[in-house]
Amino acid sequence: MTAIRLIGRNVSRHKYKSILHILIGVLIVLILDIYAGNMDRTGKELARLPERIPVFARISSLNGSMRECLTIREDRVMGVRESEYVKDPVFTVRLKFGFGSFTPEEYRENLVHYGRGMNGVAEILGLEREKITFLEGVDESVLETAQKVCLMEESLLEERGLQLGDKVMLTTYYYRCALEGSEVFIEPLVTDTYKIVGSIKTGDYQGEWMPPEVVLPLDCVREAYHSQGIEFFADSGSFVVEDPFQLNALKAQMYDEVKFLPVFTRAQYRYDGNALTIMDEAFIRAAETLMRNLAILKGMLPFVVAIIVFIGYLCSYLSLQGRQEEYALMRSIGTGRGRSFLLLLGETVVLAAFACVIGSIGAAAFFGTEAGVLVLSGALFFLTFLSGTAAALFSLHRLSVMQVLTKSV
Amino acid sequence: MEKMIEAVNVSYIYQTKYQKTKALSEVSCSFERGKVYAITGKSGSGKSTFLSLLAGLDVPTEGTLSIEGQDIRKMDRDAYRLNRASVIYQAFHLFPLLTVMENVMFPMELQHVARKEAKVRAQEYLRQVDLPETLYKKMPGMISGGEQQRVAIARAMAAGGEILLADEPTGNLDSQNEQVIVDLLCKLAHEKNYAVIVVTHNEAVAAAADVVYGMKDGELSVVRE
Repeated sequence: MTAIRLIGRNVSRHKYKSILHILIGVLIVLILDIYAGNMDRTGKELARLPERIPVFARISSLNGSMRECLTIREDRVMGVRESEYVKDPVFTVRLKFGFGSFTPEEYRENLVHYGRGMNGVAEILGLEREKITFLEGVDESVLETAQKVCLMEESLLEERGLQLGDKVMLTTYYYRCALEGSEVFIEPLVTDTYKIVGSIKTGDYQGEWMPPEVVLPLDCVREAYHSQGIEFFADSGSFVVEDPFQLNALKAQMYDEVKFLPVFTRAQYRYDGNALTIMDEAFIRAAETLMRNLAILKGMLPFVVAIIVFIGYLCSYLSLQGRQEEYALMRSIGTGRGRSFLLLLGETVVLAAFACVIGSIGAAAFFGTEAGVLVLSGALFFLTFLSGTAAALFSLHRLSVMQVLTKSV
Repeated sequence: MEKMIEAVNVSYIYQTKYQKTKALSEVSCSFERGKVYAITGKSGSGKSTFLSLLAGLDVPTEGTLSIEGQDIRKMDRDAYRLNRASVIYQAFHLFPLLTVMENVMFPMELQHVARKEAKVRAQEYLRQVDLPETLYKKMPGMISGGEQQRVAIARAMAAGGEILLADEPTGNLDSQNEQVIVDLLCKLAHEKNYAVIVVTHNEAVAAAADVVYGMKDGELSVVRE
């Protein structure tokens, strides 16, 4: 209690020194808040970067010219789908459909509808998410299953007098591309019954590519391939990189384990979907800039700390130069070294606390600094400034009390 | 009478990186309660060094300095200065930002005496040194040198000790104030049973002392007993 009273009295009586001390402290706190705020913002921006600039990857032909109508081997499809570095992989397979059952000879009249198997709503022109209406209780995730269900174009439903929930028999043909050359064959796959669980509204689509009239879940199609003993191929594939900060691990896995190749523009034209393009340039550029900024800011930390310690030392040292006599007198009256040290340090603690509060309020008001940053920079200021003060106070210990007090006026 | 302070072959060497200076050389003497001691000598003779040893601000390099039989090296010297020995100086050395009253209350605050009681006692000590009540709330800079030295004596009394060490207490005072301070020091020794040890150049102060020691080149000798 006595110590608190003595500290309070000293702080108020040395008012000009105290005000100066507080002002210097407020300035340091403000600068620290700006510094720590910048560091925090840069760190958060970096953490949010994968969200802001997602890294997409797309499978293409080796020369990079084709991204659809490819022949992507099943082991590559599964390699991508099972990778822990991959998010939202979407693969499609082109199909042709006809209603009911018919023989290969009857295909000309019956095999008139274009469709796709897919495990998610792919970026297919004319097939945007908002154009699909699902049966109640069903959503997009149905495409990730192997259920015998389908989505069907609205006009086709109307034409056939069908509605959501109805079952329909479809005969499916698949595309087989020659790995070399440009021949494409359409061959029978399976005839089966599917429940219609969604409708697609593509009526207003004016694009060049024909959107699918029928969509089946990819794994349902894949099982059909397997049941017929046909080797499965996807025709397009893309995914989002789960954690773009692990691009190297992803690339190592994709190129070494899944056996993709980087795009080689001078390669021959082929259907083989064996190349992987990872669109990471924008992300890497932004991440590198942010990381460089963060590294610079972090690199400055020891200097910032040293400067504050030095300012704390200098402030206290200069302030104590005028108070040597007071210190010597306190010692002469019987205040121990430790107690004198704590009393003088206590004054700085009070002043630093004032500076911290005022500086933090200022930083919050003018720069909108977050509470966490304020606490962190306040703590940093407190520790470093008081370290400087402590160093200055230790220098007082060398003072000869008698020498100071026996100087005549 | 019982020896309050006893110095036996006390030597003190100031040691710097480059040289050693012997400030005190085998000083032996003793001090009793109820007496005023004067230590005279030229500047640099070692008087103030001896006083700082007596105040427990330092310890002898050689020899023994004991307070009521207890070696000063083994004592809590901060507690000794707080409770038993007070020092007054030529330059008065009051806390410049504390009022006269607060200056006198300061040692009692360190001793954790209740504020109210400390105030009553401080007023009593200030009355005993004949300081007008109108000055109690003034800052030291606003009162005369003689008044400041009286406040310093009141502060020494407030510590409640039995040893008063004074370093040239009248050095900055005119003859009228000098006499007041000398009278006060004598009163403390003879009426309050303090051991008063005064380091001085002033012959009038030395004349008022019961025992006079002379200090020359760090060696102490009895001048008058």
